[in-house]
Amino acid sequence: MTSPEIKKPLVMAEEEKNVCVQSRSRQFIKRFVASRPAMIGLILLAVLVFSAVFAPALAPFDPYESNLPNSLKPPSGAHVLGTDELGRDIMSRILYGARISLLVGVEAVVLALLCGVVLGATAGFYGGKVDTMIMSVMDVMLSFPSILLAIAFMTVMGRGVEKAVIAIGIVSIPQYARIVRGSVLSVKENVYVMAARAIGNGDRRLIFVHILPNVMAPIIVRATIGISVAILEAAALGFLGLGVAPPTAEWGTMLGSGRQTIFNAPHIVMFPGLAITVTVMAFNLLGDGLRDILDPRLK
Amino acid sequence: MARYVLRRIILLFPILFGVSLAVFLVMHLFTVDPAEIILGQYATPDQVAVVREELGLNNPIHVQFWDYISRAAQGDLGQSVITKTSITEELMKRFPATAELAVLAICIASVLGIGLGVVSAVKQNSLFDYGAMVVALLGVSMPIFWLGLMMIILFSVTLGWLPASGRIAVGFRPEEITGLYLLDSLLTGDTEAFWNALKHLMMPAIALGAYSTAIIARMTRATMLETIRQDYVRTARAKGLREPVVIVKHALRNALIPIVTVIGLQMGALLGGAVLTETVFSWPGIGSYIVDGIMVSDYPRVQGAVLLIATIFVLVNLIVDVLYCYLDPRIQHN
Repeated sequence: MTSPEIKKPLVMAEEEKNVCVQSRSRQFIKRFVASRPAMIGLILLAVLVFSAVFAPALAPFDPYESNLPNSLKPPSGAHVLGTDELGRDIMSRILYGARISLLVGVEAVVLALLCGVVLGATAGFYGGKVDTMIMSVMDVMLSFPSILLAIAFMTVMGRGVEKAVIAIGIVSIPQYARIVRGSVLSVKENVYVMAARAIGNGDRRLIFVHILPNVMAPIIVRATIGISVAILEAAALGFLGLGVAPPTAEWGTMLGSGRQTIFNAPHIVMFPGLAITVTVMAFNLLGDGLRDILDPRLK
Repeated sequence: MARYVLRRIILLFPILFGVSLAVFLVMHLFTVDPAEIILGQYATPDQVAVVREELGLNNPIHVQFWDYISRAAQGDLGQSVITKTSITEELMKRFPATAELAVLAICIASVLGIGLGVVSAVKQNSLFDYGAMVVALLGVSMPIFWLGLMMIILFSVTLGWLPASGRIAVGFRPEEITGLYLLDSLLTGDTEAFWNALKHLMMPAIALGAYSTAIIARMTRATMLETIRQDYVRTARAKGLREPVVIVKHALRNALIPIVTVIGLQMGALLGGAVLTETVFSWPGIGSYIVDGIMVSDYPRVQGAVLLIATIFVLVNLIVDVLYCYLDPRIQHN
């Protein structure tokens, strides 16, 4: 066998690989566009991100400026969604609140995902005592309703955006660790993993380059839906007075502080709750769509 | 089967030990000094030292944990630092309220969820199917505390049909047998108390069960869609059985296993949701006990209540697993 003969198929294989990757991503986009839930979710999300990013330009008033004589005003021409108990414009506060909710949702899931992937992959890959130890801790964490555990963390850590991210992130770790562990267990004995090991790849490279990319589909789906759960939990913490501290405009906190006035000004709690529902729905729709596209078995 | 159940029960102990350790560590390593909470901010260091000694807070942490867990195993969860009352007694008093709420919520969620899911699957791609799935999507997307507030605005403030808070009106409280007002009023034949308790329970139970209804409906639809395409369902139709019999006795019965599992898991999740629902409706259960405890920094109270809910959560999950094994003998648990 001469060297050009060896090179030729290698070059072709590279080209084939590119074509394959291109057609796979094209196929994904085609399926995504055809999926109604995914598209509705994406459009809703785009609108939400746009409002969050351009909140300073879109908000008609300063969200923190109190105007007591103007408090508890119902929706009107001047204040489209009315004013709250301190006379602040609810529309402006909701627009600014989108920043906090999206940020907390995404950051908490990224934190949970990073920890969950490392712990789950380590447990699944090494097995034995490491697996037992990691998964026992995860099992203990799963023995609490997640919101209760988040409440316990916030009680001891105090209020704040970063603290809410940490509390919600930590309580979500076991879900990702479990999925990743299960997926790693199912692929680690595959021939391509053994082949990669045979040519001298180290454990870390095997896990991150050869195993994880092949188990990403269920993780991406779970993470997308996980953001909606994280947003709901952040709102719940805010509602209980444990989340982001006032006067920061956060939807859950707005609901919590508006609760005292629902008998004479129901609009105060109506609109922030609607904003949470629409945001959570956007991520749920996107997650449902992605699940249908990426992992039809999970349907 | 018996061996599996026994093994699961034995495995409960390390899990419960881990749960108590987690609750204890979280509460002890980060919380403010309970002695300072009891004495207030103007206490002298000497006074704080005396109270710390009385509470055993000067002992090493493992001694404190051992004290706590041995007392908890005997049913003593300590005293509230604010009211000085026994936490176990208070939890026992409040437990029926949370149990009544959670049980009614899961009943509503199961009946509605399975009903919606079955009809949606049978009438796939119909207007009903789309409507039901939009409702289910709303159910999983709405914060339950917001749904509770919206229900108060509609049914209490605007229409005046249902009471906005509390468990029963003053003067209606039935003679206490189980602590579950609906059951107690039925057992004592007190119909007025029954209706009053039911009126108070309706909104919190529906709000708490909304999320679970949506999850059960989605799961039932997905499972039923698979089942109604099976050969044995076609055979049932072919031998001339009426459609409702085919759907309920042949399809739904076989689709029930994953549905029952989801219902069981939701039962556990409801305990977390109860914290929020009880706060919205001022429901005197364990959830509101936790939230009130947080507000006054009464950490032994929070610790005891969280431990109780986690224990119930673990037990419910165990029962679901055993039930799952019983319902589907094909599953081998070796």
